[in-house]
Amino acid sequence: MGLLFDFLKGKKNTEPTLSAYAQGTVVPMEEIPDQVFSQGIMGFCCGIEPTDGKVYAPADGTISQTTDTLHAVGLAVDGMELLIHAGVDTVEMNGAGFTNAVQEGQAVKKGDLLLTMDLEQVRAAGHGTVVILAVTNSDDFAAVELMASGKVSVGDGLMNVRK
Amino acid sequence: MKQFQYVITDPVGIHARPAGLLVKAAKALDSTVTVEKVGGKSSAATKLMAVMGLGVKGGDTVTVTVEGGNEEASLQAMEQFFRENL
Repeated sequence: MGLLFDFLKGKKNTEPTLSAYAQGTVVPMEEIPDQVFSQGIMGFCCGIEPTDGKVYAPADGTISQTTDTLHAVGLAVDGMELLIHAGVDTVEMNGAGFTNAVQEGQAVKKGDLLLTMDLEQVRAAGHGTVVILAVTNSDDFAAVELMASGKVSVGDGLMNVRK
Repeated sequence: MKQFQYVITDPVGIHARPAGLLVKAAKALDSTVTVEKVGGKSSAATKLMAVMGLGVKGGDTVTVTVEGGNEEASLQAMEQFFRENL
């Protein structure tokens, strides 16, 4: 149905579908220091090593889930089931150092603040601070590709997802 | 159709890492696998965000159902997965 709809609209998806969701340096999937992400088990993903701890929405969508541990947010965007996961093994921090800015079911716009992470506190606890964006149902799409490398600012084109 | 119940021992429950591993393990089977939080929601075991969305915590009981394909082998694989990871 999505395909037909896109066809009727003549949509070509030339604009990157997902934008940089943090200020920092892009980390390709293979280089994320966590095997469930680097091996693609969580779906196609990339990371941003952040220069500050603010994490923003990569596109317009709806918050599909928040977690008690505050370090991860689910975001539904046009058929994509996104997981935004701040830090490596930060589930172990049980919320310390994290604040959540959104609620389940809330509509968000690209660039809206989703969560904050205290980088110093996460590092002090011995965890990596890379913020990961995973397209958890990337198998449902024809192509998902990383469009950016190096330093990015919030809102820069990052990933292209085609149906 | 075959099923088993399991009490989650991981104190954090089915968070991102075990959910991802569960999806991978379930996709490798030729049966349809469903996870239900007893007293809560149920989800296909191959849908990562839905599995995480069950909100399964340590101490919760889940019912895992396998249907179609080699149900005996799938049941064993899932029982082993839960014992080793959750």
